[in-house]
Amino acid sequence: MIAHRVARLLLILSVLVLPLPLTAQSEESVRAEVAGIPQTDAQKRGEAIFSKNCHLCHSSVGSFEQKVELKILQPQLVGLFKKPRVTEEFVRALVQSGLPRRMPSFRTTLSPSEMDDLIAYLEIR
Amino acid sequence: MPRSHVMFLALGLSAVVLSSRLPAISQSAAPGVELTGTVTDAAGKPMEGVPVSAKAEGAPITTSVWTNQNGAYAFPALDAGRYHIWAQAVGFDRPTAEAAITPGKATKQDFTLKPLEPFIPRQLSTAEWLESLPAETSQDRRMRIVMLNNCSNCHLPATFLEKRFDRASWETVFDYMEKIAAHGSVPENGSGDPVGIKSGGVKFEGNELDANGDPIGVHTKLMRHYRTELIDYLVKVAGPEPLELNPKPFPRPTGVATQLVVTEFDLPADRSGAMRRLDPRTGRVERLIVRDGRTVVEEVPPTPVNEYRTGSDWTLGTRDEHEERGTHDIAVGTDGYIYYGANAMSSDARGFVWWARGGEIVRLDLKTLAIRNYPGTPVISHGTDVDSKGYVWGSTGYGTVRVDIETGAVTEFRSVTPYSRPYDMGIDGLDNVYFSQIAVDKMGVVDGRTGAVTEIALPPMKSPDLLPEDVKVFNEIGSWDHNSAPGQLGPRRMGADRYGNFAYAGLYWAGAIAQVDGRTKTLVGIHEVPNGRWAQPYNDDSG
Repeated sequence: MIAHRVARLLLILSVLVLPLPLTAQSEESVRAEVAGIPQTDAQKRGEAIFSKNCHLCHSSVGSFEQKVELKILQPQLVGLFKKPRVTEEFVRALVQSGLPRRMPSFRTTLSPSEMDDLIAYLEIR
Repeated sequence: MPRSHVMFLALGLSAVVLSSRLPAISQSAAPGVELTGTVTDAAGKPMEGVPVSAKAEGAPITTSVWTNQNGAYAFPALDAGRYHIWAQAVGFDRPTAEAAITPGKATKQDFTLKPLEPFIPRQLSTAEWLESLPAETSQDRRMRIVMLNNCSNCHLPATFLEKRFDRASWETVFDYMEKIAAHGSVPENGSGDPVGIKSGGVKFEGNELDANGDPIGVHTKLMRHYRTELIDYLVKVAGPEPLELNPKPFPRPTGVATQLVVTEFDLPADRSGAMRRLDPRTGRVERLIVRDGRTVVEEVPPTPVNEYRTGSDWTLGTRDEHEERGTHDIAVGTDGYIYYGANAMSSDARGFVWWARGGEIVRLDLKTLAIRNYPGTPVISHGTDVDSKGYVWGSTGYGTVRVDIETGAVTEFRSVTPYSRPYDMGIDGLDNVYFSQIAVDKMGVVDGRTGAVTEIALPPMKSPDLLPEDVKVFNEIGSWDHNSAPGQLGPRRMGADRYGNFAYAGLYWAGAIAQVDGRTKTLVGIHEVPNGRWAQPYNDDSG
């Protein structure tokens, strides 16, 4: 079961991750994207969690030019859940596992309710 | 009077008149009747030193007062509105209430605080959290110093102590930190560390490169030297296994210290880059835009605030300043406005506000709102100030610079020790100009009469927990500002006494304040900040 889930995760990642180096290296094409505004309490809590845990690589708000220059900025996750094959299960699994050498694992940092709030926010970001 | 001057004056007057007609918060801290109450514990005992906060719906202002020895609190006179009110203390929960407030009408709101089980470490400030970390072994105490000196310049340690990452995740974080800490170069742009050169100006031997492919500098040298030990330590204190934290919150205030009123202002998001000003009576913000050579005042509309991001609930922990950017500097104008929006800001009692943008110093005349630029300086670091003769000064990557605003003449006064990372500056009552050299623990002084530049050395911090290898790092690698060697003091922001001959600098790595004498060019003393060992004193603006 776990091997099946990991295999599925890697398959989906291969679709999403491959474009990353291209995005990170092409300074001219990287633009600051405008994120959705949270309305519900869960979305607002999720935005707060995002701002403390995800912003270094996924936000254009702080030090945008530096992040682009240092090739730190990754997909800004605006409209994440509109992308094909992106499901809640996939996003939860990815945030909890991280990506070796690229993204920390948040498995023991975020509680189950914090994960729920983060997902609620990412769904409208 | 030229028409343009009339317009500036009218703008200035109308801004003042407008502000005085808007709803105002009380300018007096004296207790009012609108909102009072008591805070007690679960057994009904009064609790002293508990902050109670109130914010009106739709308003950008949060007011906080503290309970006295009877557990009683009283807000200053409050304007009409529907208020959200809350009380909190470290180790306790955070009860909230709503109340409609009418000026002159008494509203009573009592609170009972229940202990939080289990304790929530995120309630702790960074200084308290560090105080609470394991300290039984010498290595634990040593690593606390190493961690502060390498991981606290850009973000408060609580922002990463709240994480619980496994080893692989901390390795990933460090990879990113090696890229970031080395970014930028000095002295041209005032940030980053010198490429391939240690503090004092000696080149590093060898051909080692940093994570960005440049010749290695101080920040990367320090990070790589301590990387394995720091990751071991972070896995222990912020790893997947919960740490048995021994929480040591600071004692709550008592006595006269509870007679405090704190007012916080939400600032609107604004990407204009213009100088802004806050009216502290109303919370309204305006920006000053120069258009066709004239200064135009525009209101900056308030930005809706996500209350979960404001820091008003301590259980949500420390905010990350890169996302919740407030203001780097402010200057309190003689007109009562709070000016913000640039670096190296200072207020001039003659009715000006000064700041710096890159290689120029800028002046705002508060009477006319005229903005004037004085170019031709090296990149200004963090300080500007004006001496008794009207010259304006700035700190630079080389020391200080003086501008004659009548002629535009620029004169540099460079530090004795090169590559010392001059940070901030201040001017005392004798026109001695001081600047803090954070990388080498020295205070530079430009003599007010002769213009001669000297340095006052601050002694390194000693700790029985530091090892001979740390002393070697101090001597052979040194420090800059993102990272510093164990034992470094780090004089950072500073101020000088306008009526005397002393200057004071916050010692960022040491939790103390250094006092120096510009007349004798000597160190007067190092003053410990109570409970401040890990509080990272940043600024000391006694001007």
